[in-house]
Amino acid sequence: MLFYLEDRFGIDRALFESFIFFRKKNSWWVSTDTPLLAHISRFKISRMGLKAFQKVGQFLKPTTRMIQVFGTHATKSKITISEDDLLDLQKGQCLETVLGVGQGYVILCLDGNRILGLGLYVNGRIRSQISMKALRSAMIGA
Amino acid sequence: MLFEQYRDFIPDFDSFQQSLRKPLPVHLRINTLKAAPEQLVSRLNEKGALLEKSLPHDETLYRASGLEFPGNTVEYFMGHIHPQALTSCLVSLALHPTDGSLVLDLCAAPGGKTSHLAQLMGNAGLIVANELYGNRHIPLGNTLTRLGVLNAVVTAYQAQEFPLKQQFEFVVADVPCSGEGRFRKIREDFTYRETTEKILLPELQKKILLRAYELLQPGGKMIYATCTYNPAENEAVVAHLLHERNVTLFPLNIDLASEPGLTHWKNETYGEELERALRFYPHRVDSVGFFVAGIGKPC
Repeated sequence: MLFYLEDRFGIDRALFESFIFFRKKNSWWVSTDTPLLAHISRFKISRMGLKAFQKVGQFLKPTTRMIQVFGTHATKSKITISEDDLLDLQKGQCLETVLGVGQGYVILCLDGNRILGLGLYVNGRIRSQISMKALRSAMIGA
Repeated sequence: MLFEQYRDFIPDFDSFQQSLRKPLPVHLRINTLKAAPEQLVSRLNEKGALLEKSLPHDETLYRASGLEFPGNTVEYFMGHIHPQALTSCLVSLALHPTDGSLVLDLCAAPGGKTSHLAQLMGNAGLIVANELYGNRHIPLGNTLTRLGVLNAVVTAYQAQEFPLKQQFEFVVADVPCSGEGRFRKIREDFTYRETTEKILLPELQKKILLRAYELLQPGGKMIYATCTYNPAENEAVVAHLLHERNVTLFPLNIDLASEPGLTHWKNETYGEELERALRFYPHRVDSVGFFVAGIGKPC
């Protein structure tokens, strides 16, 4: 996972030294790593940290929320879109563009370093990977 | 007249009554785990919202005019803002846990205070966010996830029976309450009603506060908070703890118009120490009515 983040997005794996990843069924979660975790080992924990990767077929897909947190450190496969582009994505349309990266996930940002989530870049088109429901409700007041 | 029974201690009662006829203003917290306040304020201002600082020395809390539905903005989706009553934010500010501390939020849903604590701690240390009801874990989880909180775990114990397996440096007891402070008479058919469940609340609150105190480590700090005016849910609950345990109330330095806690009301005496608690009224702070007490455990 960390190799993928570094290879695809240029997110230095050293960034994750103060975090732990753990598996829960078909997903991987990330949490702050702290010796304090030993203090709560006798509690029944129903949730910890945030979901970082979800297994999709044979592939582990980074989640929108994880990318929103760590994507600010990305140095490649990251594109800036406008709020108009975002409206198009929200309608289910694709963005046509030529990027200097291979096919796969790209980080979508609004002007500057405001991370929205992931898009899937295939054959010169980007399709949003962000939850349409969440995006639609967000864009009502955009 | 609404809350007439509190006329003798709510200052400027007529203004208080008028404030209940106004809708609650929108207050926002800027989530510094994901966004820089200065840039975000400029962007929202460009979009037509007018953001005014809620506290003079805090860069993250704002009153937002012209932004009626902050939950329908792309900034909300990205987790850069969180709509939260100003007075609700005072809990985390008053406690102000240090970066690497172990914190317990006993009644955590829907997660506003937990995420604010995480923000103040810079996602370091550890917060145990407890919430009994499974259906309330959904909004709690959504809030923590959207705001990028990485240092919280969620448990589902009854607050008053939270296991005594570990003591905490900081505890938040923002207990279930009658919610009088949230009431606004925006429509004529809105009225405030006492229910049997609400009448039973003080006993539950006393149990939760006692348990919270047991969970606090010596030298630790705790905040007891409600969003109600009712002294039976506020001063009487803290006075009960003062009577039962070796407790000190620490002074709260909050730069917002407040009144001291009541030392007595009707036939009840709560003690002079309760003056260190703070009461916030909607006509003074233009937010939810609130009560906060800072409780320390001697070393």
